[in-house]
Amino acid sequence: MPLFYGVPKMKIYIIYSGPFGEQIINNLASKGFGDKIVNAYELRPEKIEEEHPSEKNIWSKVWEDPEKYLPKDLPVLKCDLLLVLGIHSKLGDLVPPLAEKLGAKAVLYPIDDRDMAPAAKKTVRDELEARGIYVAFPKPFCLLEKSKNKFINEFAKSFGRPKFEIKLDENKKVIKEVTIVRDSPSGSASCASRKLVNFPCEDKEALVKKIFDEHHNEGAENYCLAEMDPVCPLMQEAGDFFKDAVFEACGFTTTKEAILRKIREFGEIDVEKLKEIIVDKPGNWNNPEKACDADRSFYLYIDELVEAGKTVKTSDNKLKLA
Amino acid sequence: MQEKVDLKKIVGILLDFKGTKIKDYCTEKLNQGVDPYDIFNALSQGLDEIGKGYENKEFKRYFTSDLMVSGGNMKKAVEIVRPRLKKQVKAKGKVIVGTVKGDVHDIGKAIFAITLESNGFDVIDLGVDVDKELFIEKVRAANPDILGMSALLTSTIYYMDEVVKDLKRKNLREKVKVIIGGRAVTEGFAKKIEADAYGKDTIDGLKKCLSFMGFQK
Repeated sequence: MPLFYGVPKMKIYIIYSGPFGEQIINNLASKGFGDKIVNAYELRPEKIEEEHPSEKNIWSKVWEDPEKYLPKDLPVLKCDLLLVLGIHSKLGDLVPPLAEKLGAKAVLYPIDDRDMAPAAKKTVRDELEARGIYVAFPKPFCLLEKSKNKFINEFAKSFGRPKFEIKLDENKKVIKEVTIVRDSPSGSASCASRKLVNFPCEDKEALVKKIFDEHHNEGAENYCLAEMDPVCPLMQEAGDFFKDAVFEACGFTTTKEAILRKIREFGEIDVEKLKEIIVDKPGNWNNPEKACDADRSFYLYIDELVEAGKTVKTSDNKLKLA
Repeated sequence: MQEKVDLKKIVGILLDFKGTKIKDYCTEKLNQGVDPYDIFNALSQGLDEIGKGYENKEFKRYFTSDLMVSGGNMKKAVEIVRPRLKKQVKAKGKVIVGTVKGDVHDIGKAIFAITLESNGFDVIDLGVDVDKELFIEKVRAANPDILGMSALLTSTIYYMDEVVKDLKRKNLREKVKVIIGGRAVTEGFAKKIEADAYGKDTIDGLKKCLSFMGFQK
């Protein structure tokens, strides 16, 4: 029987909108979280507009008095963690009073699309903190790995940044078995990783192509629904996390290891110059030096390496080993 | 007679991430004897509604994920409805379409193909991840009026330029109009690579193809 430290059976309430939310709910429920979900409520702007038909310019008033605009038919069931999935940015102001009403101790508010980010993110954070409620805004959702909040941390043990255990054949040429340690919330990581079983892994370029093709495969049962705009390529970033999880589990060089290797080779290297080597052009996997596809992933990995004490960033934006 | 479209219901069907509602809807309508073109038109209106909600700058009602799921469901509908579409006696023109090499995104191109088909074009769909050799081979063999290329990824659009240059090298460029589209493509890029047209969306692409053939829409 598993031991729990402080979170015997977490209660999760979900506020969602559209297929982005539905896909995550479906994945959580099918991966053992069904009995933790106390309710899932679809919240769309139309709902609030319908409840206040006589009010003009309603969206310029909501932020002033959000309690007044909470949906009237919202079932109030107490929860520990409130998950906010893909609701309209203008509905973000409703989250603090809503979380309080539901007794939530923490709010997990992922941003997989800039249009899903609350219009006044700082206010939402301040309002929640004023009520003693912790909030995290992982961007994208599959960035989530751990948290100082016990409820979010409990959630992140099962869902967030993908993590696998992978068995190769005895010659280390073919992927033979994949075990999901932590799935991406959308389920795209488990869905795509199943397609890697029996795939040859000697040719790293072919493997990376397969990994990204499966991750971005819009025909898959569960696929990544994150934004893919060139300005904010969250889907590509999610693809990087997936690729590195596979590489780590296979014992291949991850992006972080490639970064450390280059820093060691140069002794000291400018962050932007290193980015040109490690990221190169999006999608161009012909370059063997390339290790990840999105600038955002690269900067995140640098921050994590600095935080882990593996590397040091100088005042003139250069990196050297710690 | 064409029945009135319940847009709210159609949008709900298109946004079902599991894709079961779209299958049930198409099967039910076909069994009721509804004209496949009417089914496709109703779904297209729903897709258009989502597209308008996405593009609404003042109050964006739909997100990228909604576009992706509705596009995927439209593709499922195309697969169900396509075999029941009747061919027009004389085609308005012949079009070859394909998603360029390095890109495996199929939905936008598939919807464009079915839009052309349902408007009287003969369409040869080369699928996804199509290399320039295959584009050239098919243009030479099938002698199409129009070549349509699609790309969703910014990293793959440059391949379109290679195809256009290869058409020139093989003396095929003057024989075929080139239209490009897809999320990563812009009008400016189309001009830069000397394509004949840029399709902002499937309807815009259809209008350009009709115009190439001397029809108005």
